[in-house]
Amino acid sequence: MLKNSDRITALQMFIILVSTFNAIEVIVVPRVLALTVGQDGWLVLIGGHFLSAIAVFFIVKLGMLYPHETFAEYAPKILGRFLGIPIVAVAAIFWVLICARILRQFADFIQLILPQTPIEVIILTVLLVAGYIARHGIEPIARTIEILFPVFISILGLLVLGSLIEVDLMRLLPILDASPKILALESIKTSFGLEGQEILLMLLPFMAIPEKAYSTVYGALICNLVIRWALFVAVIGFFGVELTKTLVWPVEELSRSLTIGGTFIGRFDSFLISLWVTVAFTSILVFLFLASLTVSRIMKFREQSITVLPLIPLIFIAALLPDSIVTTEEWSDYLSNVWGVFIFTIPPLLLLISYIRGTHKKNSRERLKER
Amino acid sequence: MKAIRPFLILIFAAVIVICAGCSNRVEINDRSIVLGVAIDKPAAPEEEGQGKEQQGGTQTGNQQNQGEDSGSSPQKQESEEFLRPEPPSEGKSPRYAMTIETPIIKALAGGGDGGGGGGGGGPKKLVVSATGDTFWDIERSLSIRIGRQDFYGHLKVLIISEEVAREGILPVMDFFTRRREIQQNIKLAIANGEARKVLEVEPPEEDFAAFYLDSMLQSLYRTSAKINTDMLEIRRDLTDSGNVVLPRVRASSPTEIVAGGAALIKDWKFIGWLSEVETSGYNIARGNVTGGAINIVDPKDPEGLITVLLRGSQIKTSLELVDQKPVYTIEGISEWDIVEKGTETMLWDTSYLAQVEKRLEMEVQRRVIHVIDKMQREFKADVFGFGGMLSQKHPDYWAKVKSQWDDKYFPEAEVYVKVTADIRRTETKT
Amino acid sequence: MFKKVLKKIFNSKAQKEQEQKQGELFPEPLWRKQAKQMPLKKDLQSNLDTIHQILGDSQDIIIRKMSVRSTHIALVYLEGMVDYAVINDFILKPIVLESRQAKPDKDFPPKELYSRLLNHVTPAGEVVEASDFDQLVFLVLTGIGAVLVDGQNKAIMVSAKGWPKRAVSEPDIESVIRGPREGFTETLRVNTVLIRRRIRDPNLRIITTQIGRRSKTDVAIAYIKGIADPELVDEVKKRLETIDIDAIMESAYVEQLIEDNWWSPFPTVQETERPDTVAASLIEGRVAIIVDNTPFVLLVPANINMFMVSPEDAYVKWTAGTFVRFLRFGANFIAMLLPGIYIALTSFHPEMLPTGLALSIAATREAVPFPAYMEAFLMELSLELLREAGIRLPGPISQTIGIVGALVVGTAAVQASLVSPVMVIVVAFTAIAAFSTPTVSFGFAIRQMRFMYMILATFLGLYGMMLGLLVLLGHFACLKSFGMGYLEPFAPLSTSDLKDVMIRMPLLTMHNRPASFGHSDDYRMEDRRQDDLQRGVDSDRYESN
Repeated sequence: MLKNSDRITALQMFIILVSTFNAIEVIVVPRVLALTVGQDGWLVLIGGHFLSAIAVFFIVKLGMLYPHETFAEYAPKILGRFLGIPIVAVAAIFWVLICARILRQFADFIQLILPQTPIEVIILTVLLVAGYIARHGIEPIARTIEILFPVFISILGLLVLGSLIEVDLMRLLPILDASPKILALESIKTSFGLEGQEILLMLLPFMAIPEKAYSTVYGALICNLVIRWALFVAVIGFFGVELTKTLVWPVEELSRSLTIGGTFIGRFDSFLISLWVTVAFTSILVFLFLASLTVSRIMKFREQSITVLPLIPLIFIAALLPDSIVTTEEWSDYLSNVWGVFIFTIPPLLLLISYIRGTHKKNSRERLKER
Repeated sequence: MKAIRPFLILIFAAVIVICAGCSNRVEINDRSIVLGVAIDKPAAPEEEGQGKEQQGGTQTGNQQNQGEDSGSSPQKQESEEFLRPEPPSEGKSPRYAMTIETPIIKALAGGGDGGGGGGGGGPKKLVVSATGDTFWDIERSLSIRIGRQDFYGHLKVLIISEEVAREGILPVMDFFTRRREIQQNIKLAIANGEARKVLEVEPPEEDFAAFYLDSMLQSLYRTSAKINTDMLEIRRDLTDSGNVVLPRVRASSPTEIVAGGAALIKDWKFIGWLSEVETSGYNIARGNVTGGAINIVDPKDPEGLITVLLRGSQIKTSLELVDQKPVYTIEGISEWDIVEKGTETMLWDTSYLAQVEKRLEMEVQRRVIHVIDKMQREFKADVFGFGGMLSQKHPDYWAKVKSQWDDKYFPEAEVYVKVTADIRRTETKT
Repeated sequence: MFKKVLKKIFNSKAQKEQEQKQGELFPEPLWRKQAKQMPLKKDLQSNLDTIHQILGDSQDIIIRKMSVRSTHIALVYLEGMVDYAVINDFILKPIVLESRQAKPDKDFPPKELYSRLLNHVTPAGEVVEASDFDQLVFLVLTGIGAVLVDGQNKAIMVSAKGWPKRAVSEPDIESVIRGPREGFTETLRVNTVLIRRRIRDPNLRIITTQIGRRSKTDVAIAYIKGIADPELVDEVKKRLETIDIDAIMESAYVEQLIEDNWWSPFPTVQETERPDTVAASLIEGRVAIIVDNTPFVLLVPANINMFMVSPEDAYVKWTAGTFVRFLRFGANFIAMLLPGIYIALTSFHPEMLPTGLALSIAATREAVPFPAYMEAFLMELSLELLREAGIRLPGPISQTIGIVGALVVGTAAVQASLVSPVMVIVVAFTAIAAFSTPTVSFGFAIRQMRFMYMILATFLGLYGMMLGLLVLLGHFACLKSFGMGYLEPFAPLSTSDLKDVMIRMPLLTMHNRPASFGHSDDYRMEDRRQDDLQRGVDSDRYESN
């Protein structure tokens, strides 16, 4: 009790997962889906999450074979050091890039209310706050996210409930307008775009009861599906498909238009944008922590907190690379696709090789010897 | 060393925060809070051949600016030439004139401080115009002349003149929907005549024409001859079909605005007016009606009139495809009360009431059918959302007829109107 | 030589045994270990000379020499610190009577006299033997009278403590409407008695040590064995032992030397003046640290919830308690954020205000020459100044100044257009909200945070405030108080503990102790109300006999 136990409960893991899934992307999703598949977006969401559930299954299974070890530790064991360490390093780089991407999108979003503030300032301030908390380990991170979660849920609840009055579900018709091929393609893209499904690669050993990981992750995926559904239905129902295609930040527009009983709470959107800082912050925090944890485990440092500070400038520079808001989206699509391939292929591969080589058995035998 | 670390971090953080600069910070009384905007076509310039110099900042002759000196704006000739990709509209006047109505804070402050006394000396509001080709241009030229930064966060009404609307309201709409600070509940109206005159009205009860117009457009309780719609609905309708019905306003005197009737926009352009009776028919057809009275001739006394007031209605439109043709049915119930009767006949007679009801029903249906007819024949514009319904229920058919819906297929659609009217009660006198 | 070695061996064994018995007690205080061991001699005069040497020429040390028959004895005590009744009636009188009532030929050799005095004569409780000068001098300085017998190398220490004390009265800043009005005083023993009165359980342990090389202040810890986590008690003891300081003036010194995060503005140790708070906390499994010379008792561990509840919440009905807690929670946020929100809204986001309000704020700010943030800073600083000044004013004047300052100066400032009326309202509201925090140290922290938020709002508007809130939240997430996270029971979520946090569930539902304290004994309350007890139902059954 007196020391930082570095153990998180299943509920905290659930909350971390749901909060990481939702950053800034979720504000934009209705428009992206409207442009590609129109009002069938909700089908695509189901498909995407289903595919993610499969990927996550392999990740958790792999992690359970190596209790108390993170991906950075068992991957070299399975593949040998020359192959394993580069793969883990690639993962670390991706996490750095994902963090940078979220930061950039976030800064663009915040510039809606702070037009003349340079984005360097916005990015750096958030990054520093995230760095401060990330240095203390997983437990304070879990606590912070746990407290911020109700904020997130209440904003969502307010948005969805407030829009219910004017939502016309007829706007979601007709169903299955888009061709199945496009639906399948978009599902895959959605599943690739769910950053956060892979965090269990590194965070599984921190759970107090690892066996609960399955139910936790599936629960988190379902929760996320409901959240994105709710937002998608609310936006399309409110604005209609055509109008949604013209909105850069659909969810933010939704908050601008909330009506209750005919009278406006039209001033909600500045408040929403400010509150959304907390939502994006949780994702930034988690990815920063992941990256620093991975680097520290590769280099076999004892403390994870050393690697946080050096990573901050890297992420900062990466966040400033894209030119414009359109470039950011292009690059982030590219990033998601490549990373998605990584997540879908590497864990099952590792699982297979682990079974073949029997490394996990060797692992447990070694542990028994240690005792 | 360990003890100094928190302080170092604090200093570092403070430096970063301060570097943000206060560039976004504008004191509230340093902003010019724009309450109403009017878009007109600029009057023909009195001096011709100004060509290159007519960019932004030129004034047209008939300005009515209150409380400000009409100095001419600086002519930035050479430098601005290079900025524009194409030569300015040579010899032609700029495309738009925008007028903003904003309060004079000092006048408001004078009234609030140190005890009452109505109306401190001097005008309460500032009405300024500027011209240009695009709205950011106009804003630039406004900023040359107004000392404070104009702020559209509290914009309430946007009035577009008939002339501008005829050419298309798409460029206007883009400016006012792209900015985040402009709310979605602002009211749009088409002005019969010059839009600026509407903003210049000084209503006796309110301080600003924008508030006056805003509350007038909102209250639908007593009449259905007005349209109550806001930017959000308008955007929706426009992006869905390109057609929308907007309220019509007119400055009838320097102190009064009349807002009744409607303006019809087809394909982002203005094509005609709807009278007040027609507007009420349109409202009933869309199921938007919440008030309004109709006069019925008394069955027993041809000279007398009975007035009935609408209390509530539930009107729905349904669609069926019959023989590859869409058939729409507008049906619903409406409940009315008798509020005025100019004859001596007693109401307490069910058969008599039935007669009145029948006449009422006929009148209601007549209005609706008249409007639909006008839309189908004269204007050829689908403002009832019929196309949208078709796209949702029968997407294949819609894909075929989409491109020519307004001009060919909509006028051929059959519409049945079955709106019943029931008279419920009559206050205190029989 | 050989004897000495043997003695050492045997003594060390005895020492170990004693240590094991002493498991619950503190080991010897630091100053004692560091002091030179100077044993008493048998010669009375040389003893008295040594005492004189140690204590110097202070004239409040009284040495009363007497003789019983042929043996000389001396009584040493500190004037003003002893109760003269005890000295006179229980020490001197019996000795005098002894000597006078004995038979004329009976003599009292030193050893006999000593044992008689120790065992039979002195009708006082608390009698201890001292064998070295450090202990003797220390005990004399605490108000104990020392009786030295010529020919004996030990002294009898008779407790005669009777220094001037403050009466038990209601604490000023922690007063309640419903509840006891006793508050701690500056005497350790009185404070421990007040606690003992509320918990008459033999498991309540109160163990004392002295901290401070020169002040040698009595510090006691209190806990209920069987409820408090033994690890926690050990940790508290360990931390107290590591304190090496000249003087402990107040419990705040102890607090600052044992707390986890010295650099955080937020307190991780709770202080209180009320015995009922302490008793309730002990029942929950916390440990109390009582320091002599101060009425403020420390309670560990502390999480953020402890600083925002007042004992009164438990004494009123649960609906009232819940309402008041919500109010307080909200008030803390208002006290911290309201000026920042005002700056952010008027300077950065005026579209968030209703139009009428925006216009009227603009109108009132028109005449004021300062920008909003400067106005806010000036007003807040002057309010803090007023507060600080108000503490030092005597009673009736402070009230008058309060009213005069607020009304007259405020109104005059508004009319002189130095400040806008909205700002005055904001500042007043903030001040009122700030007063609602029950714990002073936490209130201080909130007040400081307010300035940080104002700065952030000045530069970055609402985004800055959000960042500040995130920093605060992160800070709380990292704070720990003796192993307990600051944010418990919110995170990690423990729904059973939430019954007493923001809401106050009826007493009848709080069956178990808060789980976050990691204690050993769960059961706290059980609802044994019987159904057949007529509580206000069918009262006529009683009447019909």
